[in-house]
Amino acid sequence: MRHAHTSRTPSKTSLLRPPEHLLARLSRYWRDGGPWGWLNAMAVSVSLLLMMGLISLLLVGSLGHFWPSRLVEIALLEPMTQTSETSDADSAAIGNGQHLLGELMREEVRHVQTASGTSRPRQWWLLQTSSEQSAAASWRWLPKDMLNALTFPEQALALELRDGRVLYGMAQALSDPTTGELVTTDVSGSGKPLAEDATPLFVRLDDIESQRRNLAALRSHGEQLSKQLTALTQQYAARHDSGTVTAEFEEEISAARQALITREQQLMSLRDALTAGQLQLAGRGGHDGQIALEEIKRAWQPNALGFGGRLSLTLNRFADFISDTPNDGGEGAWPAIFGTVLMVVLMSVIVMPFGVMAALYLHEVAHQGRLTQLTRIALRNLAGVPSIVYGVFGLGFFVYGVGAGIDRLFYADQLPTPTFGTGGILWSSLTLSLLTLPVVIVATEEGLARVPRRLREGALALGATRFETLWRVVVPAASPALITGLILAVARAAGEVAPLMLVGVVKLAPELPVDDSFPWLHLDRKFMHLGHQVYDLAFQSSDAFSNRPLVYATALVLVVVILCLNLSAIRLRHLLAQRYKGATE
Amino acid sequence: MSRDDVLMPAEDSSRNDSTYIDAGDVCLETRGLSLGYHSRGGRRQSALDDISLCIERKRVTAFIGPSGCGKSSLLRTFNRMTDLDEQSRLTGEVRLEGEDIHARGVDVPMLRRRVGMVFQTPNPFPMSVYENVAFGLRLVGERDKRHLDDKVEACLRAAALWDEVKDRLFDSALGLSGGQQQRLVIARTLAVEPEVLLLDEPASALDPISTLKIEELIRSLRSRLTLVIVTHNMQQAARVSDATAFLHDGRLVEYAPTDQLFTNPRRRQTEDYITGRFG
Repeated sequence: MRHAHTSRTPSKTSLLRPPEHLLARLSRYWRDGGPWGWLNAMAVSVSLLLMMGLISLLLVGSLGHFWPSRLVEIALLEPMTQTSETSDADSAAIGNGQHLLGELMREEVRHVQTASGTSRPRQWWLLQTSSEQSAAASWRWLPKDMLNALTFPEQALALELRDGRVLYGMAQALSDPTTGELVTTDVSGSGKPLAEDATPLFVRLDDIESQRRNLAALRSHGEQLSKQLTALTQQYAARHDSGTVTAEFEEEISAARQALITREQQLMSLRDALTAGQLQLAGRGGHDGQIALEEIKRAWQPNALGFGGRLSLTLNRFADFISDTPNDGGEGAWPAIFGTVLMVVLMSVIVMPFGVMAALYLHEVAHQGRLTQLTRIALRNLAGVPSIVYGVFGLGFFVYGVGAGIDRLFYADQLPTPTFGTGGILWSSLTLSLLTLPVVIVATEEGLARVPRRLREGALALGATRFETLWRVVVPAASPALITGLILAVARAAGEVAPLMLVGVVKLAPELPVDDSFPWLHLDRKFMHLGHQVYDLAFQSSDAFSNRPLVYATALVLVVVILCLNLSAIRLRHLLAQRYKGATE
Repeated sequence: MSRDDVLMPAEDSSRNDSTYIDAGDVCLETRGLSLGYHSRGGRRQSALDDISLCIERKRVTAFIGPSGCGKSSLLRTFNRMTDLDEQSRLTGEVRLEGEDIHARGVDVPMLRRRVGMVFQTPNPFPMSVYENVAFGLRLVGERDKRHLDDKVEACLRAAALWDEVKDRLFDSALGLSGGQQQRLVIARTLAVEPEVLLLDEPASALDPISTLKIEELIRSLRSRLTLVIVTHNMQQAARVSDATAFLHDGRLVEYAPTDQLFTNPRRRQTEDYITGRFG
């Protein structure tokens, strides 16, 4: 090189590549790693696409259920009779109805065996009609060649009842609020028949909604009054014994009694007014007859709605789904959302101190020898144990061991009914804490390892003890890593179902684990969980087909809940990382 | 000079060059100090070999020598930072004001409050400037807000940092420049009022201007406490120190007043090193 410099002759190898033929270029492309870049990009795209596909499947599947689709009225050609061709019971039942109203779900071509033994294709439509008994929708297969006419009546009504049923039909008559008789026309307004203009129905429903609110207020006021009366009566008894009952006091009591009676009467009349309202519905092949207006949760006319109306209705119904409690067969995810979040929060509260302590011991206190290394390996392997194994352990140790022990010691008077000796939210949280402990320990240890030695030395050199160094300098500097551990733990725990089924999750919990009665947080209660709800709706229910949209909706809610939990943890980590920026290398 | 009265270290002047320090002015003293490590292969490695020297109170003493000569290890024996290495074995004595600091029963946190240390890389804690300085005070349970405020200001002034940080006392210390961080670390150490301040190459990670400021600071602190500085920069040792010890290969080669060591070294090895012929 020095020679080249001094003699100022240009280097012999030129920087320009000589022209190459295709094969050489390809081989160079391969050596430069071009294909790797594409491969990586492909892997990322596939993952992203899968994620997006999953989310959109959940969105479409669940929102489709709440979307008010158009109602179609089908006139049948002739009353159907049971033939060999319509052998299934559903289509045989159509026979008595000339008209059918419902949502058209899908179309299918089936091959039917005729009497002569040949097979011929026949087109069938699946129609969802009014629910009969339960919340489950009714499905009807109709042969297309039996249809005479197909219309989308503007006035077709869809009613969502409080028990979860959905009815379709045409409004025929509404009970008059004063007389209680059924009338078919709008008396106070336009005078049109109800079948053409259902406005009075919506007015009445709004009215009932506000009355229900009044009723709730009145009821709480009545409870207050009755409490006052009880207190006064006790006072009266005490005074009566001591002989100091004054006339004013007796008057006061009778006034209070009178107020309560008036309130009760008001309540009664309001309740009567509420229950009195009736709607006569022409079901068109579904529910024919009267429905108490109070039973109706929501009514809409899907064929008259514009896009905005449909969207807002969908969102409203979805919001109801999130905030409702599923009693009487209705749908609602609120207790499951609450149970999931509470369980995850409890789990975090339990696992973080334990995990951090264990990691501190392993990384900072214990002698770094073979035993520590073995412990570390064992811990990492523990993260790979199937979750159901933790469930079995939780059942055996926590529920039957610790829980039964607690019952014998503190709740002996309630035995043989177990209090803690059965599955509950405490045992579920503890089981999941065990499950996520390795994750927290590993993440914390990695965080501790990244706290530079010079920070520890700085604290020690100022006269801090090892303990003070740990808690005042090392742990704060490693705190973003602790939160990383928490994020991983939450992500793992929130979606876990299998172990929970053994230690406390139920299909329908009568009460939330938190309420206003002492001690507010009831750790012994069973709870509902979104993941279990998905499993239950999809595989444990008798009507899996009509439950499918609910499965999607519940899964969507679960994904969103996990996302929110994670986002809040990530936000916390971000704040800590800002604060201790540069503390780790 | 009165310093010539007593020959310290006393016993064998044959092995170490002598420095004449009055017995009453001795702050730190080592006697036959050796430090060994078990290296990975089970081999014993010696970091310090039979070092005896005395460090004068309220003076700046510098340790120089090629890298790996043991000057940092020697410094770390003065506040028992060597304890952090489980593998190290120490024999001999280190005396602080006559007390053996490696004896059993010594309160190590107390020792470290009396013998403060500043490291090569600035290591402010990930807290505010204020909290960094208050850290040592809070450790000993100081809670009085006004006292803390006064102390923090005094220490930052002593470290010549007050004017630069007084408007951002509650911002993160990690936002300061390297030189500011190092002065903050010195202020933090001053807050616990040490008698001795050990500086382990305090300016080696800094730019020339910051180095200059640190050196000024060291000179200004000389009236308050005893300083021991490890440096690989001979000009720095010559500029800031009163006495200089030259170490090589774990041994104390020569220890003399700085001007004497740099102008008239007694040992050939020392002369070779300071003239740049090796190391």
